[in-house]
Amino acid sequence: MTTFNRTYRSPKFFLCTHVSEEDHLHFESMEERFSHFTFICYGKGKGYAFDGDDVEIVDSGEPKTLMDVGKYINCSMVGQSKANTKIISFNSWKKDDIWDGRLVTENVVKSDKDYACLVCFEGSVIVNGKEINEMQYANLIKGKEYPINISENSYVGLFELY
Amino acid sequence: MNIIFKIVEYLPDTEQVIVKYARKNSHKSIDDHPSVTLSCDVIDTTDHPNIVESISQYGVNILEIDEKYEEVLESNKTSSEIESSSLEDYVGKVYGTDTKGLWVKSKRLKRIDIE
Repeated sequence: MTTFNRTYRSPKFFLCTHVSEEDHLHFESMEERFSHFTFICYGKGKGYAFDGDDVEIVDSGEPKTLMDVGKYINCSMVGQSKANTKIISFNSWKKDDIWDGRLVTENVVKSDKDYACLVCFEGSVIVNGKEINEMQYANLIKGKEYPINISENSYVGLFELY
Repeated sequence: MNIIFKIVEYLPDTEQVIVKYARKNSHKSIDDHPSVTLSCDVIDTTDHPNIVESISQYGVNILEIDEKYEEVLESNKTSSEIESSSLEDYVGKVYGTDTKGLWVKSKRLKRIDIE
């Protein structure tokens, strides 16, 4: 069973946390799907994306990675946990928003998009001298370079709205 | 929200009904709300619950739009935003937000200013 779900709202996007036990099945209809990316905190699973008569099997990949699931935003999805699993999904308020996202590994971040943000999924990160803790975010000013220091075992995503 | 409606006229020639909608708890009478015309084609006449629900479905958006133009009672006007996170500072003042995006186990993601 899913033991806990929580939604974290911001004006441009929202995050959802899902914690589930092994073999848990979860269904999400196309109308309810707004996910562009999924960060796997721990565990693993499979997704079954229904697109008309076709079904695509999606493997969750390794923990501590960010999956691009935007191509399934108009699919209904069945998810199956293959272990105790926690994921955090990055979602837009509008289905037709186009987002690019990746985990940050460098020491400086910059975006040329009108809207971009950093989201700390785990641990903490220092950006421009300010600490961003787990499940907090910061907006970036277009074109500005920010020094970033990611603590050990910490994971932060850069998301840009096109 | 509980929605109510009143069919004020049935037009068999054109197969339409003239309907007024209101929130059940509204302090304004349903008779004081504007009328809209609804085609009978969209009404599910299978039984009473289906009739009520199918007509009500078309009123939800109308009431949401109506609400934007309703006058706000002086005592219901919200206070200016404050920075405080102490609940004591909120006592006796009115605050509120749009219900869009509010659901159980939902909270605002904390934004850190790095500019």
